[in-house]
Order: sequence, then structure tokens, then C-alpha cells
Amino acid sequence: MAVTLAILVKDQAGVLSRIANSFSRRGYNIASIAAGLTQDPDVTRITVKLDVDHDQVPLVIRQLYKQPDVLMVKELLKAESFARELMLVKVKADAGVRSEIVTIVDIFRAGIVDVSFGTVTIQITGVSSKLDAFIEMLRPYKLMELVRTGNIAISRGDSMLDVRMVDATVDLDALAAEDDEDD
Amino acid sequence: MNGAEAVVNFLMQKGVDVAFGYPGGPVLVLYEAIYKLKFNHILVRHEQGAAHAAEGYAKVTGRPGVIIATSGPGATNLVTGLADAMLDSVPLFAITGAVARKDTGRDAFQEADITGITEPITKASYLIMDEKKLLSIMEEAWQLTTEGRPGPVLINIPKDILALEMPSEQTPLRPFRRVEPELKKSKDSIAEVISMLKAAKQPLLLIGGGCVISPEAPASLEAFLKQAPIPTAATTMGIGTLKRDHPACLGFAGMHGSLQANEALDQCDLLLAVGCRFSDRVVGNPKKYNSNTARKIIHCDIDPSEINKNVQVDLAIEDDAAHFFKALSAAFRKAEEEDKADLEEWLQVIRPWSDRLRETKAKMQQVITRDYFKPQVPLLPEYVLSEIAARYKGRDPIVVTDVGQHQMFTAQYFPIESPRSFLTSGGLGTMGFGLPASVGAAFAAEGRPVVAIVGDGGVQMVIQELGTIDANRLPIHIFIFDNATLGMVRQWQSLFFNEHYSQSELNNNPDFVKIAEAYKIPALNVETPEDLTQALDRMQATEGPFLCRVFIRTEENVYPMVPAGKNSDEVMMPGMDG
Repeated sequence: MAVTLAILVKDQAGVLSRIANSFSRRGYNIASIAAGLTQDPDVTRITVKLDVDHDQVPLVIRQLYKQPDVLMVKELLKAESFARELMLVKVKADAGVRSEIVTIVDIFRAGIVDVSFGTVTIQITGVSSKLDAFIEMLRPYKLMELVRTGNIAISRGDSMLDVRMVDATVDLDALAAEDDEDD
Repeated sequence: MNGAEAVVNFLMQKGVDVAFGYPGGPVLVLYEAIYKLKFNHILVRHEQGAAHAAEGYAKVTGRPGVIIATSGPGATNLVTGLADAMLDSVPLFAITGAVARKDTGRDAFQEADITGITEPITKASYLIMDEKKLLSIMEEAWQLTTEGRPGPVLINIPKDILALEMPSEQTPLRPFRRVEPELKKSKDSIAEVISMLKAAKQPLLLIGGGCVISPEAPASLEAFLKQAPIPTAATTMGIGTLKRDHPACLGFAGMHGSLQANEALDQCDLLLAVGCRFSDRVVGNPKKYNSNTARKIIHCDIDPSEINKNVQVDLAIEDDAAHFFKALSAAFRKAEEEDKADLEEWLQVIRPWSDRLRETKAKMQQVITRDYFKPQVPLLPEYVLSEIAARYKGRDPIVVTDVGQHQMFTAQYFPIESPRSFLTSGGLGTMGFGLPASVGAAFAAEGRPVVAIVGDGGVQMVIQELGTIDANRLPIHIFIFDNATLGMVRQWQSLFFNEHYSQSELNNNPDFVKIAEAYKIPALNVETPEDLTQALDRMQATEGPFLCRVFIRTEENVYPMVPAGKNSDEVMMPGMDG
């Protein structure tokens, strides 16, 4: 079963490989992993999609916290979050089929970012299943090159994985009060 | 002050009174600082020896064992020791030299990515690339060794940083807050523990290494057992928490544990497991163990990632063992005040269970006395160990073993008198652990006897450490159990591989007595009961190290035995029916 975890870690050399290793050595399969800085330049957010039984999640989270670099881990449930992925795909597109491809691109609300005499390069974002469907539609044409970012995910509404919480100089009570005020 | 002096100063400020290590290129500056600052450093004969010696020291004292090694091969030689410490929760602080920063990643001479190599077998491994963070990172790492569940850390320092004049101010590490799921502490569920206990007719307390490590756990366990004498079994790592002659003590459970402990593990209706991790040597088949739904399991461990890892439990407590026993005592007292009659009734209910286990214990004792304790030639390891143990009775010896049959025989027949006094490689099962671990133990012994029981296989993996023992005239009593075979391998081959003794024979063992003597360590051969008595007499009368090569029966197997992947209901024990 696919489980999405959002992990805040200290932005340190080797941290991504340490997190990835901590999954693989326990035998968990990583379906996708994506990392990038947050608004706090010392904190990296890693989104991991794991193939794991749901009752294993608390244990997986506890094992992550064994890494001193890990600051905060949350499971992002499907109903309470949304996930997006970006894909760039280069398709062989002679003059004869180009307009067919453009039609498919329009239907999927994708965009053409580069074009040459023989190829078009398309950018598409969305949930992974949409990207999968898009690939299927393009398959009759020749796929030359394809690259996906893997999922990134964020919680819906007011609930959040607040990076300010891991900043030891921030007073948690004040933070909570501030958020109440905003509401 | 250069980086090296800052490192040595740091160690001295932490109260480190001994480090174990081996010099080499990138750490020469560090050894210059050790020389100048007169830091107490013990030169081992192989870096693996340094790691195990540091483990021995840390296991006895509870303080981090410190290791120093050079880059590349020096560092990779630590790997087995670090992995061993990781599995047995031993605090180690390993410092390795690395090639200069400008050479990093260029496959320079003696370069190996030890930070990466040790990442999965340490709590944390660091490569220092900024001299302004050297001491801040060392401080963080030092705290990590003993924080929560102890374990090893490694700090890899490039040689140019060691040689560099230290900046007057260090950059403090940015403080972060970890936002973790709240721990389920003892106080939150102690009432539930009490009610589960009172509902049980056949409760068992299983104590693991966490009860040895937590300084106040053994005393608070004993205090609780005074209130409620629940049958108590240890895991191999928990040996020493409770004295063997304590009325509640069943000995240790698991693959070669006592019959009564394994009977209890199999038949209990409530298992209260504290500071243990349900290793496959304790519960071979977790699925089957869990399939008995009539049995309730309570698991208390300081490391929350151990809960529900191997065995699914009914109640989880994420706490230190001593906290748990204290909370349990207090709650029990309260329950007693509220309804004394009710509790006394419960104590009556569990009595037949305790009596039954005691009967098994007596029955097993009969077999042992009848079959194993008779003086004979070739000597039986059971007999030899009970004779050795008798010589140290009441002297609170530190008993160190290697890995294999002799290890299990020692666990069975050498009564341990206090916590932190049975030093063995439990999780990793590292042959070669024993001799160097006894070196570290000798530096922590404060006058207590150090007894190293090792096999003829394991000792040959680390025999060069006799040099360290001689150089420091360490008063270690070494017993090599020589059965001319890799005993435990042979045992499995005899039971499960059609007696095909593939590559397990050691029938050209060297003359260990001559080897010891070459290292200026007095030594004797022991072949008969009379030899043993004389050797033990000589040993007691000799100052400093002493070695006995004890020839024992090759065919002797360790029993009881629960085969791998099975549970304690399938224990093998020849002679029990006779």
C-alpha cells in the first residue's frame, strides 16, 4: 500500500542518502522520493512515497526519528492532503502527427515547452495517475525521453507541517496563539 | 592550540581516563597531542581490538568507550566493533583520521569513506569539513552516545583540520526542536499494567539488556519483586540484572536458555518484557508466538522503534526500565493499600505457576548434576565452568566471553553476581570479541577479577591482543576452551547437516601455552580434573595475566537447544526423559 510521508530534516551533507538508506535497510520499498529546501534555508523537506502496510507506519516513523537529522515526520493521508508530480516528456513529432499531439496536450492541460523539426517537449503536472494516463496516450507516438520528479505533497486547509515548529528559538505557545489570531 | 590538541582536550574534559587505538598517517598530529598532553592511550595490536576493548570498558562502566584509528584500513578495521556496539547498545566514541580536505574523494592514499560505511551501524557518523564546527559536533556526538538507548558514534576528522590552529571561537550548531510523537510513558498506563497483571494466572517478567544498562533498574526490579515475586527470566543481554539465586530468577530464556525460563516463555498468559527486543534468539517464530491470543504482552523499551518490530504487543510503554519498575512498585503499593486482600488472593493464584517452574528447575538441576558435573577425561565444559566459577564466587568477577558454545556454557554455568559483569557479544555474535573486550574490562575493573572465557576459534581471530595484555600486565585470567573444532558450527552440522563437519575442524591448533609464554604470559595446559585444580591454584597465586588452555570434549553439544526459527515449546534436551 502506498503511504506518503513528509519529513523535515536538517539540511546537511548526506542527509538524503541517510534517509533513503534507513528505508532500504529495513526492507521498505521507496516508490518515489523528492527533496528540496523549505522557507527555512537550514531545513530540507523530503517527500517519500513508500510501499508499506499501513499498520507499519508508526514503526517506520519511529525508525526515522532514530536519525539525529530528522526533525519532524508526518504521514500525509490521501484525504487530507494533495500530491503533485511534474513530468517532462520529449516525443517524436513529425509535421504529420504534431497537431494530434497538440490536441492530447490540450486535453490534459499540459504545455509544450520546446519544439524542433522532429520533436516536441511537453511539461505536465498533476497526480501520478494523470501522468500515467498521459504517457499511455502518447505511447503510439515515439517517446524519446521522459523524466518525472516524483511526488511532492502538502496538507489541505489549515493543518500543516509548520517548519517554524522545529526552530528551537520559536516559542511554540506563541506560535499557536499567533495562528489562532490569524483565524 | 591545534585541532588535535582541541580533540584531546575535549576528551580530557569529558573525564575520559583511557582510549584504545592505533596510530597512522592522518592521525600522527593527534598522537603528537596525546604525547604532549600525556593522555592515557592504550596501543592495541589491531584496530578491531580497540573497538572491542572500548566496548568492554563501556559495558562495565556505562561511560562511552573511546577509540582512535587512522584513515582507510585503520577505520575499516573498526567496522565489526561498531556494528557489535550498535546491536548491543554500547556507547562508543570513535575518532578516525581522514585524508586532508583537499584530497577528499580523490581516492587518496589510505582513503575510505568511513563516514558512509559506518552510517548504518552507528547512531550517527560525522565527517568534519568545517574546523569551526569541530568541537560543536564532537559535543553533539558525545551526548548521542549515552542519550536514550546508548550506541556508537563515529567522527571522521581530516588531517589538515587536526593540524590547523583552532579558531578562537567555534560556530555553535543551530539548535533545532524535534517534533516527535509523544512517548507512552510508564505513568500513563501503569494502572492498565496492574489490572493486566491481576488478571494473569501465569505471568512472566522478561528482562533484557536495557535492565542492565539503566543504572537503577536492577535495584528497582528487586524492590518490585519483593512486593510481587513474579517468575523472572532474562535474555542473554539481561544476565546479571538479577542474581541467579534470587527466588524469582528462572535463568535466561532463548535458544540455549534454561528449561524453566523457556517453559515460562511458552506458557505464560502475560508476558511483561522490559528492555529487550524479542531477538530471534529469544522468540524464533514471532508469528507463532503471537498466534496464542490468550497471552497478553506488555513491552517496555526506551527505544520506541523496538515496539511492535518483532512481536506484536498488547500494551506499549516507551520508557526507561528503572522508571517503569519504580512506577510499577508505586502502583502496586497503592493497589495494596486500596485492597490488600484482593492482591494477596492474586499472589495465591500465581503460586502454583511459580511452583511448577521451580519443579522444572529442580529437575534440570538433577540432570546437570548427574550427567555433567562428574569429573572425567576428556573434560566437559559444564564441569570446567562450574569449577572455575567456584573460584571466583563472592568476588564479583567480570566475566567476558567470546562467541560460540563456550559462550552459552558460560551463560548457563557461571553465576554472575552483579549487573554490567557479563560481557558478551549478544546481537552480532562477533567471534573475536572476548579477548580484546577483557582488555577494556581490565581498565574498568577497579580490582575485581576479570575472567575471559574464549574458544579456540575466536581467540585465534584476535590472538595478537595478548601483546596488549602483556604490555600493560593486565591481570586477566584467560581460559581457552580447546575442543579442536568450531564447536557451535559443529553442533549445527551434527544436528542439522547430517554430521558433515564441513570446514569446522581445528585439528592443527597451535600450542596456545607456548604462544602465551612468547608474550610473557604464564600459561598451563589442562587435560584432567587434577590439572584444572592445580592450574586454578597457580592462577590465583600469580599476579598479572594467566592463561589456561583447557582441552574439552569435542562432541559435547550445548543443551537445552531451541532450533532456529522455532519457539521454546520445541526445545531439545537429551537426557530429560531418562
